[in-house]
This record gives sequence, C-alpha cells and structure tokens, in this order.
Amino acid sequence: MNRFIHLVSVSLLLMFVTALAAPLAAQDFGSGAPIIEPNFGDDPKTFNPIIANDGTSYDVIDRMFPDFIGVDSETVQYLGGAKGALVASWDIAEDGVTYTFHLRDDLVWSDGASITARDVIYFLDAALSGETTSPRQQLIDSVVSYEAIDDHTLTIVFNEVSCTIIDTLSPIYPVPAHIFSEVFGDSYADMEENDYNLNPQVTGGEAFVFSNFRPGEQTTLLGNADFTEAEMGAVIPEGWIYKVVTDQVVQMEQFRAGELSFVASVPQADRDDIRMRGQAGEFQIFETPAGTIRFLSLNTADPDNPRDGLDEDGSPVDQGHHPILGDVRVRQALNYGMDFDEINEGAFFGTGVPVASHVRPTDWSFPAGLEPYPFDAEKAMSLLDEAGFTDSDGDGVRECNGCLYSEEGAPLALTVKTNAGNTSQEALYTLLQDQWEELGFEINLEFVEFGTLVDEFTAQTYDAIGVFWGLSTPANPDGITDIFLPAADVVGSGYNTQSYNNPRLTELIETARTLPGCDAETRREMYGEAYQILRDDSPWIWISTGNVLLAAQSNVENWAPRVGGARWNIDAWTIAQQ
Amino acid sequence: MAWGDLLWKVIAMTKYIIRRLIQAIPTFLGVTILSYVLMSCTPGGPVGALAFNSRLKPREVEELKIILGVNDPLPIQYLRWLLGDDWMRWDSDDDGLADGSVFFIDLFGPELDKRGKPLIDENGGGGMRRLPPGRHYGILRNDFGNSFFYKRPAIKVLVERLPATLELGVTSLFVGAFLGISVGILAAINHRGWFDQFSRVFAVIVNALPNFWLGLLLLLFFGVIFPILPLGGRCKTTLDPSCPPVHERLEYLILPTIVLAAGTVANYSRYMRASMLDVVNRDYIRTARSKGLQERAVWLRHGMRNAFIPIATFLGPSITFLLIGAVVIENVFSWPGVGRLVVSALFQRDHPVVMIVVIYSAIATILGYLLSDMLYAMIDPRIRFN
Repeated sequence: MNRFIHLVSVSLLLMFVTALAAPLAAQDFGSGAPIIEPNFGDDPKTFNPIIANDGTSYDVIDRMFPDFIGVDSETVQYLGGAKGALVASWDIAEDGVTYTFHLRDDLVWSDGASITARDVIYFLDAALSGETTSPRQQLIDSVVSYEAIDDHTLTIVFNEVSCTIIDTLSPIYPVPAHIFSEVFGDSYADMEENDYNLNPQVTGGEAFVFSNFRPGEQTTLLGNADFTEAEMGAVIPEGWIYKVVTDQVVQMEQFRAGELSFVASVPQADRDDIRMRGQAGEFQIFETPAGTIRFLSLNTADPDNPRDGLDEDGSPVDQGHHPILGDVRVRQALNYGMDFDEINEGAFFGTGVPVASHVRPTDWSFPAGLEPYPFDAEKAMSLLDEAGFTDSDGDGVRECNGCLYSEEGAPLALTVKTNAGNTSQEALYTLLQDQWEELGFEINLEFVEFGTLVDEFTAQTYDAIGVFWGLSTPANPDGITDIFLPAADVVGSGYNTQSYNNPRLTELIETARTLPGCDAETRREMYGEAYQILRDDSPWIWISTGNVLLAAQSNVENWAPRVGGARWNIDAWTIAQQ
Repeated sequence: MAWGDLLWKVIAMTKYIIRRLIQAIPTFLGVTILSYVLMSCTPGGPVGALAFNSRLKPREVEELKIILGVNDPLPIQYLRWLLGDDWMRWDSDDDGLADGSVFFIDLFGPELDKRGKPLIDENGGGGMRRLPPGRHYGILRNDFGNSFFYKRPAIKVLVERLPATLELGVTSLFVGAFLGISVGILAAINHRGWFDQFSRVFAVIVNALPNFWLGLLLLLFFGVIFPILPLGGRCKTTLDPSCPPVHERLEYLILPTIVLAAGTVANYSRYMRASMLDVVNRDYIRTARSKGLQERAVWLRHGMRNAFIPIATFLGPSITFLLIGAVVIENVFSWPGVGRLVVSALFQRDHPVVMIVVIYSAIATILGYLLSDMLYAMIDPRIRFN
C-alpha cells in the first residue's frame, strides 16, 4: 500500500512539474517569429543615447538600452525597480538636494559586463561636457555634482530643492562605459561623427540587443538572452525589426496583408475599417488618448516690437499690448465663439476630444471641474461689446469704438496662420474662420509652410498661430515653465511666444516646483489654480486632442497594451514561427 | 582604320573633353552660387532648423550662429561653404582656439551673456574671446559638412543611399529605353497602323498619369487584390544584415521599374518614331532601297543608326536621374534611395544633405550633356570633336 501511495505521489508530482514546465518548454528564448513594426518616418539618426534627440532614435534605443529611472506601465509614474530600468530605489538626504540612487546588480551588457554606476557616470560626463550637442546638456542647469559611491550606488547633488528632479533625470541612459571610453576616448568632441553610433556592438539591459542597421530600410534587434525580467522567463520574439515604410497607404496595406505585426498609430482614414475588422476578430485593437494637443497661440504682446520677457537681471520687460488680443475679453470671446461639435464633425471625423488645458484630464495634477469653454455665441458677442468692439457701420465686421489697445475705428481683424499640407488643420481653421466671422471678426486665414510658420512663431510677430503640443509621459506639470512663464519668452527661441506673463501663475509654478516635502495634494491645488488662470486668461485656445488606435495581428499572442505604453511586455509577444 | 587615324581621333576627343570640362567650370560655379543663395533664402536658414528646440538656451543659439558663421555677410558664407574655412581661421599652437585669420575674418568674438547678448562692461566695452579655428574644407574638397540630423558627414549619408538608387535607376532606364526605342521603331514601321495608334494612345495616357498614383494603383492591384508582388521595399523583411543579390529579389524591382520606365517608354517611343519617320523619307534610304537592299536591312542598317542621333540627346541627361533617383516613387515604394533622402532632408531643412544632392546632380547633368555630345559625334560621322 505504501508503495502504491508512493507511486501515486510521485506520479502526481511528475504531472504537476510537467504541467508547470509545459508552457515554458513551448516558450523558449527566441522561439517566436520577429516582430515587424513600421517606422513611418526617417531613419534613426543615432543609437547613442548621449546624443540622441529624435523620437525614431529613441524608439530603438528604448528597446536595447535600460532606462536610468523607469516608469510603471500601469500607473504611469516613476518607480524604483521598474522593469527595464537601472534604479532600484532612491533616498533624498535631509538637505533635499542630495539624491542617492541604489542600482540593480542583475543587469548586464551583451558582452557580459555588469551595468554599473560607472555607466551612468560616463553618460553624465559626456552629456555635460559641452563638447557634444547632447540635448541632455540641460541637466547642467540643475546638477551640481555626481559621484559613484560603489558599483551600484550613485549620488547626484542638485542646485535646488525641486519636486521635479526625477523628471529631470528621466532622459539619462546608462551606456557601456568600458566600450564607449575605448571607442570615443576622453574627448567627446568627435563623438557625433563616429560610425559606432550606428553600429553599437554592445547593448543590453533590455529585451533586445542591436543586430544591424540598413539605412533607409530597417533597424534590426535580436532577442536578449540575458534579459532577466522577461514576462515568460525568456524573451520570446527572435527579434524586432523597425521597418521604414514611408507611405501611410502602403503601410496599412502591408499591415492588412500581414507583413507588419503591429501598428502604433492607425491613420484616421483607416480607423473605421480596422475597428470593424478588429471587432470581427481579424485584428487586435486598442484605443488610448493621443500624445498631442491642438492649440491656437494668441499673441498678447505688441507684434511690431517683440521683446524678451525678462531683462539681464531677471526683471520683467514691458511687452506692450497686441491691439486686439491684448484684451483678455477678446481672447475669451474667441473661446466662447468656437463651436467644437461642428469642428469635430467637419475636421476630425467626430474623433476629437475637447480640452481645457495642455495636460491630460487623467494626469495627477489636473483639477476636477476644469472644463473647456462652452459654445456660447451670445456671451462671445457681449464680451466683444464690452471690450469696445462694435459694428458701427453695419458691414458685419466690428470696429474699435472705445477699445483698450487698438486705434479708434480699426477693424476687429486678425491673421490666423497654421501649417500648410495638414488637411485636418486646414479644415479646422476654415471652420473657425466662419464661426468667428459670425461674431464680427475679420479673419485672414493663411496656410504657411511649416519652416516659415516656426520662424514667425519664435519671432513673435504674429497674431495667432495654430500648431500642436506634445504631451510628456509621465506628465510633468512643470513643463508649463517652458510655455507660459516669462523666462521662456525669448525672441527667436523660447516657447512663450505669446509673451504671456501672469505673476500669480509664475508664483504658483515656482512654489509648486520647490514645495518642501513635495506634498502631492498641495501641489495639485497649486497646479489646479494655475490651469484655471490659464484657461481664464486664454493665452492659448486649447482646441482638441484625440485618440490613437493601435492594432496588432490576431496571431500576436500576449499583446496587451496599456495607457502607459504599448510595448511594456514586448518580450512576451508570441508569433508562431513560419 | 589606321592606328594613326585612331590616335588622332583619341587626341581630338580628349582635347574636346578637356575643353568642355573647362567650359563647365563657370556653369558649375553658377550653379553653386544660385543654389547657395536659394538655400539661404529658405525660412530660418540652418539655425532655424537647429534652434527650434525649447531646451536650447539663447546663448547656445548665438554660439551656434557663430560656429555656423551665419552672422557673416552672404559672400563670406558662400566662400566658407565653397572653399572651407580651415584657411580662414587657423590654430597653430593646437590649443583649440584660433590664433590667426585672413583679413576679412574675425579672430575674436564677443563674450556672450546667458541670454546670448554680447557682454558689455561698465565702460561700454565688452569682453572678447578668441574664436575656434575653422574646421571645414569646403565642397570643392568634397566636404559638405555634417548632416544636421544624421550628425554624420553628408557625403556618407548620400553614399549609403546611392546603391539602391542606382539599382532602380539603371534598371528602369535600361528597360524604359529599350522598350521605348523598340516601340518607336515598330510604330514607325507600322506607320498609321493599329500598333502606331496604340503606342500613341499609350504615350498620351502614361504622360497624363501622375506616377505616384500609378504606383499606388499597381501596388493595390498586384500587391493587394492579386497579391503576386510585394508591397514595396527593396527586399524581404528578415533579420539578415543585408539584402540578397538583385537576381534573388527581382520581384521587388518589378513595380517601381514599371512606374519609372513607363514615362521613359512613352517619351522615347514618340521621339524614336518621329526620328525614324523623318529618316525613312531621306534620299539615302531611297538609294539603299534602289540598290536592292532588303527592307529589313534598310531599316536597321541605314534607318536606325541615323534615327538614333536625336535619341542620344536624351541618354546623357538621364544620368542625373540615375543619381538623384525618383523622388516620388521612392517614397511610394519605400525604396531606400537618394530621392527619399532628399525629400526628408528638405522637410527637415537639412541643408548639407540637400546641397550635396543638388551639387552632385548638377555635376551629373553637366557630365550627362558632355556624354550626349560624345555619343552624337560617335553616331554621326559628320560631327567631329574639333
């Protein structure tokens, strides 16, 4: 009997082990076909994270270099020990400016070397040397010193207490210092011209490692056998191919034909079809809020005499007033006069989402109750009357009759410009032109080549310019500094091209950024007030955002995109090998 | 032919080529001036492209202007681009700062404050500092500078894309010229017959069709509805580090070649037809017939050779097309060539890449016309190199 029980026990144990092992056995490293993703754009410029400065390069870099500080794909917040990131945790000293980062010790480069603090130090040394055009030179404004305590501990001292320091450090990537110092030497001046940037032999710490780059065609990565955080215990796809497809029509036909595994953004014209086929089970689909916002910047200052927002001592400089848009009531009237429903149908195929701010309603700093302006033509016209713009000669266009900054009798005329060639932008502003002319404006609409538009935008010589604003992930509410504070009002380069200056807003942003203890609730209240001020002052008209439709072939198993990222578990995507 | 005659012919041809190349120098310089001025007139110029970055501090923008020399007068900027600036401002003690310069180039520049404005001291003067030495060799020494976006020498970026462009260009030119000439001859032989009418209608239709539209239509037809050909690209998407040899991936060449060659077929066939019809009414053709030559020999030996003379005019300039590629078609078919490169460079205001393509195209055009003239002389014995 004992022998029987023993036999049964062993059999059950064996069955249990087999059952556990079965999925793993079927999911060996690199057993899945490569993932082919379209790159609708240009080649990556570099695979060197120190000098990278474009989205396409980062699309590849993110697959084969670990982040310094990672983001949790579920909460979309920075998190110590996040997947594919080097920092396990961090401490802040009592002085509030000394951060000690504890690094993981289980990440390795593809040549077997451990990823250590030295790799982060090399990145910082090169980026802050001033010898490259690294966009990370911005760190020099906030970093006082840094030091590797040991292989897995690093301290960075900042110049001020700030609640956004972790955001500041997000663009840091560890790089293989032992290889980089050999390839680039001690001088970083020639780093950008080195061919190694497009042929990095040592990568790692992420799901893939570099394989090859074919200019104009594709970038190829291979599964990383040493990636310890794979969802299935090993990286399943044999590789990842970032394939250049320059025509959107061709891209979507390639997807329909099964040549592409995944499309990160289905073009507007194909959405209905892909949605329908997704519901029929032909494809997998996922919709998420877009990362851009359409806005119209309203120049509040004198466009004939653009000046920087601050002088050398940091004191505000008088900006003069825009003859029409200098009056906040006119800016508000434009907001009330915008019929979003009509715009949404006419320009965005009904897919637009009205917005009241440049941060997403899902972001932690977004205040409850902040709503877009409702469409109210009566209110708009009464504001214009109040501002001293009335139609005294009955020609349908209002004139200044006691207005604040325009000459008496001057028409209520504005030139609105946007980039030529973007059909939805052109449709949007054509509709807005009609809507605002109904209120008594005379709108001169111009579609301008993008380069010219940018020049006028930064030169601050315009009335109103409509472009897009990219949203950061995770949200960094301090990004407002770059757009609406006088320090960013720099003729020729700053983004506060509308020359907007509200001292209360500046105070709120500065206080929220440097709040001792960084209490989230207090900061949320401050940012909430700031967003409300911006909505009421309307230096921008926030128009809309939209959704992005992602689609994958039905045979891509484990495809489970989240709001925080579509590729968070790319190591587990399984496509049966042909 | 005696060796002496041949030698004289070679000498005459060499002298002709040298003379033509010397004559081409002013043309080339004219092209460089025109293209440089046009490029300088584009909104923003090089700094506009590089400085649209909220992270770039005003001081860095000003530094960028100094490094790129965009504050200098346009003629100096042009000279720097053409001849380089290593001889304009040099560093003889290797301390990284210039210690000598030609008279029209500043050796010192103002110290800048953090807003990029020159620092002014209490007495109204300002701090000055030595500027870095020139590091460019100029386009005449094949230095077009670094691509603003690829951060590598523009020449390298161009060379990477040339093989794909040549592959498609040579194939489509060969196919187009061969078919075009053949159709033209047949149309002439079949003058006013059904084939002649058909070729005329074909030429009109092909010339009227935008080639990007034709490309998309063919992709839809042969890639989607009847999926027998690939949907763009140069080879199969695999993990391999390079495309296999051309003969193993001919299917990728078929559609772009058809679209590109269609225009060439249409044009060459019309010219060849007209040329042949012009030739067949000449006296020497009548003489050939009266000698009792077979009709085939009359057409091929006497007619075709002479009909080729005007066609030679087109062959030379086609070299330009081989180099710059088919801008639109490369985009439609995701063909990784120079045409696509130049489109993205234009959108990104990547001046060095745009300029290298413009200048090399100009050189190819000049050489193409020279080749045309040489072909002319070879085909037509009445034309002599001297």
